Amino acid sequence: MKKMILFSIFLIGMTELWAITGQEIMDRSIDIQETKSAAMDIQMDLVDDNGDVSNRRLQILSMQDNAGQNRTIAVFMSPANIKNTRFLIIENSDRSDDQWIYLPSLKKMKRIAASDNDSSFMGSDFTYGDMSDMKADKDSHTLLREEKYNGRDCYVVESLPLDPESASRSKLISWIDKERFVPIKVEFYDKRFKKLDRTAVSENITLVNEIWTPLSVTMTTHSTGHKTILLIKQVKYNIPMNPGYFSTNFLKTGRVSQ
Amino acid sequence: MKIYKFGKIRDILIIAAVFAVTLLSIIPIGNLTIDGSIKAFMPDGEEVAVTNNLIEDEFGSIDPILVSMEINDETILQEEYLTVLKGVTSGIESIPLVLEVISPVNVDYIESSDSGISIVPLMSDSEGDMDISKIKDRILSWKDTYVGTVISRDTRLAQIIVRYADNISPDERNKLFNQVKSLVNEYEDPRWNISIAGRAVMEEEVSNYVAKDLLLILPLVALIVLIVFFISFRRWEGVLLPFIPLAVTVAWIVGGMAIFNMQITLVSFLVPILILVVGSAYSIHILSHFYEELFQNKEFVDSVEISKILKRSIREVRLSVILAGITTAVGFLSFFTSPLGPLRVFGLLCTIGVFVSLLVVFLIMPPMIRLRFSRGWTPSKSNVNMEVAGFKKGDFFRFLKWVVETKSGVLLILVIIFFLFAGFQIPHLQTGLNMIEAFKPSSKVFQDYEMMNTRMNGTGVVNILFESPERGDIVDSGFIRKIDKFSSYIKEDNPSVTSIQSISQFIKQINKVMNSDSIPYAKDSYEDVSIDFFSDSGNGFFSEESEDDQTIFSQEEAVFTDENSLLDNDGENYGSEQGLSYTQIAGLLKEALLNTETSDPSAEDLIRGFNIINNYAGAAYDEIPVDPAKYGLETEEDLNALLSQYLILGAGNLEMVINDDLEPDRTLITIQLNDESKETLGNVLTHIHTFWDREIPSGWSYSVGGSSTIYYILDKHILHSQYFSILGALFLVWLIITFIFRSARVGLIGLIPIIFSLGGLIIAFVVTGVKLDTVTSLTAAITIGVGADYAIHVLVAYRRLASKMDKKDILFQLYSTTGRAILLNALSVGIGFLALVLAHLIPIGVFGSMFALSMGISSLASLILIPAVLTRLDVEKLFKQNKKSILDKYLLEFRKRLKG
Repeated sequence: MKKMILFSIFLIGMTELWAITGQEIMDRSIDIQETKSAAMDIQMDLVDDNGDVSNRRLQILSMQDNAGQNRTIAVFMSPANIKNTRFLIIENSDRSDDQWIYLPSLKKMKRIAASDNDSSFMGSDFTYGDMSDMKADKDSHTLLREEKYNGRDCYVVESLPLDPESASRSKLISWIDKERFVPIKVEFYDKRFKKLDRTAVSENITLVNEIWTPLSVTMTTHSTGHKTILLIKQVKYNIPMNPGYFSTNFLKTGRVSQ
Repeated sequence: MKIYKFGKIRDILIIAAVFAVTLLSIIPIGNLTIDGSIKAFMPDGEEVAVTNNLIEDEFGSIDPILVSMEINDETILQEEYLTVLKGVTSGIESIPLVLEVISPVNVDYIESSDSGISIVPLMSDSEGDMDISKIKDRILSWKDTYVGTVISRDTRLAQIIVRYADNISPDERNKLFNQVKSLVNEYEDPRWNISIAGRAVMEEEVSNYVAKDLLLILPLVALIVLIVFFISFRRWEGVLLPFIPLAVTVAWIVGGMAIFNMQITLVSFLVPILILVVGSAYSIHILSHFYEELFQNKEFVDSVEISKILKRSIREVRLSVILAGITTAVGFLSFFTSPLGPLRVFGLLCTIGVFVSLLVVFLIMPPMIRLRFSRGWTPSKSNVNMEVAGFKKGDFFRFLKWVVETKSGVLLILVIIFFLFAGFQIPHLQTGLNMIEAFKPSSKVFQDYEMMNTRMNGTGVVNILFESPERGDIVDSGFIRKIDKFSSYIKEDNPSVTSIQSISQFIKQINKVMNSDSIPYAKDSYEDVSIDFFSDSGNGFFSEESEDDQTIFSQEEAVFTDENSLLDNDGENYGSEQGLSYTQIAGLLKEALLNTETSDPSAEDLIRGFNIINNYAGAAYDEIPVDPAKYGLETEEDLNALLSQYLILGAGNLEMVINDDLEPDRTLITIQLNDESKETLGNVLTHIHTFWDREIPSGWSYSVGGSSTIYYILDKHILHSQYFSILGALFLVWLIITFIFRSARVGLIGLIPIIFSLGGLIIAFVVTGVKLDTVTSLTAAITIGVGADYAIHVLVAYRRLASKMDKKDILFQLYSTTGRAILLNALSVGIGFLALVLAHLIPIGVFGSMFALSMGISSLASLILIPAVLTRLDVEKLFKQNKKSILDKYLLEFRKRLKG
């Protein structure tokens, strides 16, 4: 979930920037991810190659603790069978993240020690892998050119992973809005085939709590024609947040202890 | 002289033009690709083909590459060997086109742990590598998942499963296979026994062998044809002149295949060989007639006279050569009735090949002969005797004559017995398309395959694809229980079924792990709260209640508030008492016995029964949830919701069994087999249909696919295709003979030797136990086409001789002229095809030897049976109305019109 949030925030823009190198562009773009907290109500529309759509809805809260580590809680709102299934993820600086899941049918919470993978996130076109690497210091960035995309002046930046072995892709090419500094298109290149694998396009970019936020992101997998439209139904940034939400007690009971 | 010069220039131009076209057709030959797959034979509309395409679209490639690594006499679970396995695994992972590598060193393991559940690599945990005994424990705890799939029962052999993109081209697959092969070869060590198997590998090997065989056998057959030409004519131009048109034809056909992007398949690979062998007869005919006419001259013959002799020879031989071509083409044409695409293509290419061969022979042989003899011809001693080859007028023909004249009654009885015997053998004809049987048992491919089938789960795969009407319907506890029931049912009756992978496996696994600390039928007291952070009330994040002054920057709240209390549940399990009395132990034993599902439980069953009492390691939950109350739930719907939530835990790892992580409407069952014989496959498919026709939920559908199913379905097609092509070829041959002689009776007489040789083939197939497959099944129809030539030649010769000599003299004359030619041709064609026994692939060799055999039978049957029948009939009456056939008349009329 945290990775999902990181990805979503990555697609958030900022105001003018005079930087001209790829590294500076991406550094500034990534800097705006540093929100102290975020709350999102997200709908995922999964569209298969026949045009059939299935929906998933989840709500995500995230906050930074005093050590600067992220805490995230995600709750599935639909489909009905998994409503109220909850995840808690606590980021650790010195070891892998702690993760818990709560299954409402069993009324049970379990800690999960899952091995990392590049697999699809809940059947969508997003993967855990390509969302986790969204930190500017994990790639080297080169400004390729400047061009218009969807009527907006953009910087086109190529990002190559500094550690290709552990990266989940061979490269990214991002179209960053020169004025708002929002990535409005990102191309994901496959790690093995080195070919264009997926493309994310941001739309309906709106100013929310003084942050340019794409309220719709469409990720298309070219080999299958499958796409996922991520619609941010509601979003709030940098709001006061009760840390009680990020506890196993809340995960299990749905209540914040007083 | 001007005319002569013009003629010479015209001849040179014709030859130059043909050679230019030939050169152009050679250029694209390098682009030809070979497809050794059996899949190529499957008709597109066939249900199994459609199902397999659906499966590959939804669940990825169904034919992975299997790399097995074995250490002799000791377990592979040692650090040194595991390091090698890691190296191979990561090496393969880095090969482009590889989608996924499943190996003992990276496969996931799900376990319940002190703090919850862990999904970790089988051979390591969060602290890194583990000791061997713990790994063994893990393997045994989920042996259905690991044993036979990634590691052998004796832990000496590890298997790495390499999945690749389903839409890659044969070239890319070949490249991928070679990359895997060369990577694995880097780890060659005397202690390791490494092999690469799987259907994809087998098909690549078939392609490689086809390429090798083509390079070996085509030149060999060409050499044999050259030798036959040399024996027939004993002069260099007698070798070159008839061979050049054949080489040109082969180049045109193969070049044409490349231009039209046709792939070389297991059968089309035979096309150039067939053209070489079959086409050689046409050029031999023209050249031998020309020589016969030429060598009758005792003095110098100038080029003008030679042109006349050539013209005369061609006119005489033209009809019989064209008829021979047509009847041969008929055999090939019969493949058009086949439902199998590659057989139709084969028929088309061979038919075109025959006609192109005729065209080229008539187009360039005359100019080549004229140019060769442009300075005229002077007789020499070496030209005197053309009867260099074949049989002298001797004992053999006298013997045939004696048989036909004196023993025709006995012969008839013997023939009837032969036909009856052959007819009774038809039900014993065996068909079988198991590709591995195409390889010699001594080959590495065969041995690797055998090893996979004896030590691991085997290479056979049958898939069942289920489709539900609505999204998410698949997550139904009733349906998943049926899958579980089906697994037991099919395993029970089919010992060749080694493993079944399905969604039920995962559900059982996760159910067991998630409930390792549960107490069956216990009710949780608290009510779950429905959360909506964005609602205006309750736990709404933006509600007044939550927006208190506890900002994120205020005090930290402990994350792990009541985690420990949850973990304490482990200590509450009611089976933890110690110091039980005898009565208590007896009671527990009885309870354990009741928990077993069999009336005659093994020690293992009893232990499982014990574990269920105490829910040891979740044993009481090693099931597909069936009873809502056991899980503290109320309805079946609640159970289904629970299963959906389990799927979240497997999200991203279930692509091979369901088409969507949360709301699947398609699911796949994969049945692995260690035997792909027709009987086993038939039995498995029958069980599948018997079970699911009864159990499939209303409105749902299922279809059966998998690569082994292709074998079974193709097998049926081959048999049907065989009947159709044989009947079609027989009918067309009968029609042609009837047309030529204007007599249906003569048409039937012409079929006698053909049917006789078919009978011989049937007996040969049954006696040798050779199976009819995609290649060997070609023999019969081609035999009919080529064999019909002999029948027509005998009938034409008999008719001609009957019109000018006494009946008693016909036979000897027939044998010494036409008979000799037929036997010579059968011998050369037979030897040419016998070269195929040198092929690496068994069916190719079988095809060659069976074809050679049928040529022998066909030629002898034509020379014995047709005269035997004709001697008993009033020949004059039989041939009365057709001294000039319709074709002769037509050609005569055509010639007159041309002159007119």
